[in-house]
Amino acid sequence: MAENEGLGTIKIANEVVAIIASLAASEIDGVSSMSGGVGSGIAEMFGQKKGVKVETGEDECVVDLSVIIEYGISIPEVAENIQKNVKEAIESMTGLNAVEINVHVQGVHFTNNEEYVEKSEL
Amino acid sequence: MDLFYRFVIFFMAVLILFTSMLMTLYVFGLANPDRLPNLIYGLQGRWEMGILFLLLFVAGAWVIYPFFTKEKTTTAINTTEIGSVDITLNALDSLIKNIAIEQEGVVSINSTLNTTETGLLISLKTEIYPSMSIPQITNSLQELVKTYIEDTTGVSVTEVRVLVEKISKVNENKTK
Repeated sequence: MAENEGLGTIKIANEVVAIIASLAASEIDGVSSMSGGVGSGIAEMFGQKKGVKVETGEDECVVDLSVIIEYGISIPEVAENIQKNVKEAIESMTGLNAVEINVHVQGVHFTNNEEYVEKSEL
Repeated sequence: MDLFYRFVIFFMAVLILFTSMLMTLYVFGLANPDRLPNLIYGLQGRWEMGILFLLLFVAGAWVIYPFFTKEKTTTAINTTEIGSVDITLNALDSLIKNIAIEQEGVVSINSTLNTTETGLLISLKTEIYPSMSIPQITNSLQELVKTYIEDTTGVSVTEVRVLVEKISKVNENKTK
């Protein structure tokens, strides 16, 4: 929420920040997908975006991302890239100050498993 | 889960407010206590109420459940000024299983993880085909797992315990 002098206030819904965060995170090389976890179906019923939790204050926000990382990549590196990209996206698109971007790695995605399955189907 | 959880708790709080007020009135004689026993007798046989109370019980159990099972399922990777990064033990476990099987001589692997103050405690149970001497294989396995986890995730590994459960006589092809 930011105040535009004289013209009125600007409020940005949490869902908007969540979508921006989710897209910015998914863009990063090494991110396989956003992780839902238990109860994500119910959460989506209430309009919450999968794998993202956003809390906003007056001018700042805290974002928690749950991700699945591709196998074979340095996880701290990917996490740092996610944090940087999400922070930049939120701050440039919404003007909110992204105080905390927390990344929770929920799993690893192994592509060689998929290849194994495909071969067995031949 | 958060929103729904909060909704259920709110609903229960309202219920407690209502019943506690009612009980207080009865206790201090401000309401007719005769009504209460009749109310309870009236419930006999009314299965719809039974289902309602059962749902209430399930909701209560579901609300209380996290209080008793908050065991640590994640471990921290690092914290910077941007925010914190952590990883679930399940994710770490899948990485461990995946790398341990690459060790020459390891036919199959079973792993469990625990966190300690100093770092990860990894317990491996393996079946080995002794293409080299067993200590060579297990030492190599320990090194492999420790180095890989520390390089890939940044989480420090305190100990890698290996238990050789079975010796294979045939060099079975490892399925990856």
